[in-house]
Amino acid sequence: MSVPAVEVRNLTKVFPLSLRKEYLVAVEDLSLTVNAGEVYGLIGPNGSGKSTTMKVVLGLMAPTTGSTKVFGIESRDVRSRNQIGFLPENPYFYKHLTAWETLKFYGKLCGMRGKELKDRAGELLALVDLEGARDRRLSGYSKGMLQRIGLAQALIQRPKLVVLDEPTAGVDPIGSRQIRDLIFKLKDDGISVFLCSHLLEQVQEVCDQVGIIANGRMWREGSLHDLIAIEDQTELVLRDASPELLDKIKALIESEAGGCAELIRSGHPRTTLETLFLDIVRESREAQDLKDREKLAAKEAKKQKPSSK
Amino acid sequence: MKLNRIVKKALTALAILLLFGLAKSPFENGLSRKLQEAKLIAPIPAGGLGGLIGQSTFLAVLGGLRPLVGIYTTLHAFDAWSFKEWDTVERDYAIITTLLPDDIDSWKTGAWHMAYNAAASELYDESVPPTVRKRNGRAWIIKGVEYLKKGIEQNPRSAVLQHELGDIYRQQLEEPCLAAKHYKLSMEGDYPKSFAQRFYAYSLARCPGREREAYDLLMRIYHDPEEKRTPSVIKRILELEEKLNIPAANRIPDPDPDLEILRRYPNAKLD
Amino acid sequence: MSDSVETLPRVPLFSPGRIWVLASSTFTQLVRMRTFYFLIVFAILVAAASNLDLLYTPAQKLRILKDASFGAMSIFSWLFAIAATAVLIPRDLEDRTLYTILSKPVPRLEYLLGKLGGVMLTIGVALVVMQVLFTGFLFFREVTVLASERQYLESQGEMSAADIQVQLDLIRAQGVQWQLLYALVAIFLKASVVAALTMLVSTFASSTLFTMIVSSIVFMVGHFHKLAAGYWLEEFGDSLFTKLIIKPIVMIIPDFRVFNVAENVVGGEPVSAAIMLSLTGLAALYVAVYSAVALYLFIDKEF
Ligand SMILES: Nc1ncnc2c1ncn2[C@@H]1O[C@H](COP(=O)(O)OP(=O)(O)OP(=O)(O)O)[C@@H](O)[C@H]1O
Ligand SMILES: [Mg+2]
Repeated sequence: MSVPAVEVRNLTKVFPLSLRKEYLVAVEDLSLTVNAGEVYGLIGPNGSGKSTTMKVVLGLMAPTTGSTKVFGIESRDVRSRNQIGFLPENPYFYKHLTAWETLKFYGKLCGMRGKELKDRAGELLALVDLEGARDRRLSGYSKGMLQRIGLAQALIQRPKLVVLDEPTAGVDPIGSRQIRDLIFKLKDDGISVFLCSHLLEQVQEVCDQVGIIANGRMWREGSLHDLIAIEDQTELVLRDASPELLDKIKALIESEAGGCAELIRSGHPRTTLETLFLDIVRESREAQDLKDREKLAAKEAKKQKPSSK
Repeated sequence: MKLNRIVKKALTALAILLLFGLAKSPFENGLSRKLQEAKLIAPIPAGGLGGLIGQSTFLAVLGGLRPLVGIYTTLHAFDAWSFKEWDTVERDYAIITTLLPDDIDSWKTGAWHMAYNAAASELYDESVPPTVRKRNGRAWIIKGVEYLKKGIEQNPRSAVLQHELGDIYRQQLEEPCLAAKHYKLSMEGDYPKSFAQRFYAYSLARCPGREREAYDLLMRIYHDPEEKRTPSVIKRILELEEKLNIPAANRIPDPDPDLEILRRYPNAKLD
Repeated sequence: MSDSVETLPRVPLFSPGRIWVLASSTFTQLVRMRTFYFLIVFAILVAAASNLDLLYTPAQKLRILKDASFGAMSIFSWLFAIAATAVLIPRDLEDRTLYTILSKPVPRLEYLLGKLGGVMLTIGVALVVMQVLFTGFLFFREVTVLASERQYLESQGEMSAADIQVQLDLIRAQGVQWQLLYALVAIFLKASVVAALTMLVSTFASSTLFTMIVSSIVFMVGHFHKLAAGYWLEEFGDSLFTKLIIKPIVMIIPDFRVFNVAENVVGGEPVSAAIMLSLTGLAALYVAVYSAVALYLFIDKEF
């Protein structure tokens, strides 16, 4: 088996909140694997630790405990970044540079030069459909355009892994569609993609693997197919089925000996990722509430101790 | 535990800086001393600075704005001069030369303002009785002299300032012996030699008791083909020949045509 | 697993090329922030100073032009060093440009050196432009002043040709001289130390304003602590206060006065190459140590 593109092992990230001894656990004992050539989507509500996880993977932050590797190289090793293209959330680049200069700048940072760099920059501008705005400074770019130049920048050195933090935030439907198509194209080219989002429709369309994260913990992980499958139910999807055929099937089910199978519904298959997501968020909130209540109770207990003395 | 690490790092950084400071100090101090000796950085400003100028100026001086403040004050002094505010001129020049102690021209200009301009405006101030005028005028001349002496203290090698002081003694105070003393000092510096020497000789000629010395020097100048026989040289020689009773045979020939100028302008004041 | 490391292109641990990319992009950034408009102000100032015709002696006319120009160059360089350096890193962070740069194979040392190099490059270019501009004015001024002085001295008929020559040479000594380049170098060295210092402060500062204030204070204190220390040491002797507060401060803060040679070089004091070498060495040492400490603080900083 080939080396996984991203390997996160028991990652915990704790932020000190203030000079007093208060901490915020942003990510807790999180493990995930992005296999080479796969599109992995991390979904979770705001503040659940998606960006934090990505920053640790990119070496922008050090893990408190646990480890992250990119193609087998520890994230803190500069060489791991050779194979990564990163698009941060709400990216801004040097406003004083034009799109063309921006791409050349990042290309040079990756050690590209001359014709190779020029060709690649031109290619990418075409890919993200910004050829017309090539010589305009980024200070005059719209949100969607910035997102696209961000993508182009991430791809400049032909990385084998692309990390996208909410690639479609603030982008209109047409723009998100373009970005989605682009992700498909990357996948076709054998590039691994690690993205996070809270836009479920997008994730379910493009991702092979999905992880659902809430309160810094991984709640469910697996292929999209497995995640939304309900074990004791079977779905038949037919094309051009005549009413007669459907009646026959119904009759067949009813006539089944023992009669324990029943037809629950028939119709077009629908998403259940959203339901799953909402369930998990609710579940995690309840867990959090429980924790908070326990904490509060512990505090109360502490308070009462001295008075009882 | 995370914050502890940050504090630890900060302390380590501070320790590194301290160690570096300790290590580089001897080198830096040595360089500073060398630079002061080479007159490349200002010596520590004299004690009076704080009282003399405002706090903002003080900070500006520290920030490397010394020359700019110097220029500003020079302009200020110029204004004061055109309005004949002599006290302001005096104070401004005190600041300028405190900031730029080796700026010879400022010492010279400041002294000139005091000993000539301020003095003259007092001497010819018709609203004041003549005796008071004379006293006030003389006070300004003395101020100029004192100021120049400070300049010479800061710039002991400056022939220009010595010459300037000689000028004030000769022209304003009529103290030929003192004037001669400073002209003599200016001869040792980089002042144009023949110029300094002539003025030394002129003053020496009027200094009681040193006429012989003056006469010898003037005769040397007179016979030196490199030197100019200026009307003043000839006039002094003629005077000294009388005073010293030089035998007729040794006297210089009739000054004509050298004293052409004297004939053409009989009232010309030559001293 | 280990073979995957082998197949990846190697990233050199230290690449001057990348530092140059970062420095030149910083230079572009600073230029496009219209910082060079200052040069227009400078040109006006020099033009004004070279037209000042008060009661100055000929040598003083040249001196005042030099004082004004080098004064302005000095102020520009340290002010710019503090302001630009203090703004750059926080701005990269705010714009998230830092994320995209550091997520490329760019070691953090190179990022810091690139930024510092960019500021120094900008200051260097600005100084050279100002020097050229001002030398032009000075040369023109020198020629006219010399001509009028020669005419005046000759018309007086008091001085021999040799004496006149001496006088003119004294004026020339205040004109365009190679030594003026040393003043330029000294100003640049001082600004470099200030920039490195500001970068060090900005790696632990929480805001741009904090960086600017701390750096400015250190810069100002660095101009008088050696003078003040003498006073304090006399006043308080060997007390705990001097041991714990005064001495460490005097140790840590650079003696910026050392770099003030420009003022007197401009005044015509001769300066030896050995002294310039010592100054350059000292400045390089400061920049190196400050960058090293800045890196130490920056290397595992989280964004
Ligand atoms: N530098 C930091 N210092 C302190 N707390 C932080 C820091 N960065 C993130 N956090 C906290 O960690 C938690 C996770 O943040 P993170 O940015 O990873 O969330 P996210 O899943 O990306 O959210 P969003 O969908 O809003 O982008 C949040 O509670 C956030 O406040
Ligand atoms: Mg986020």
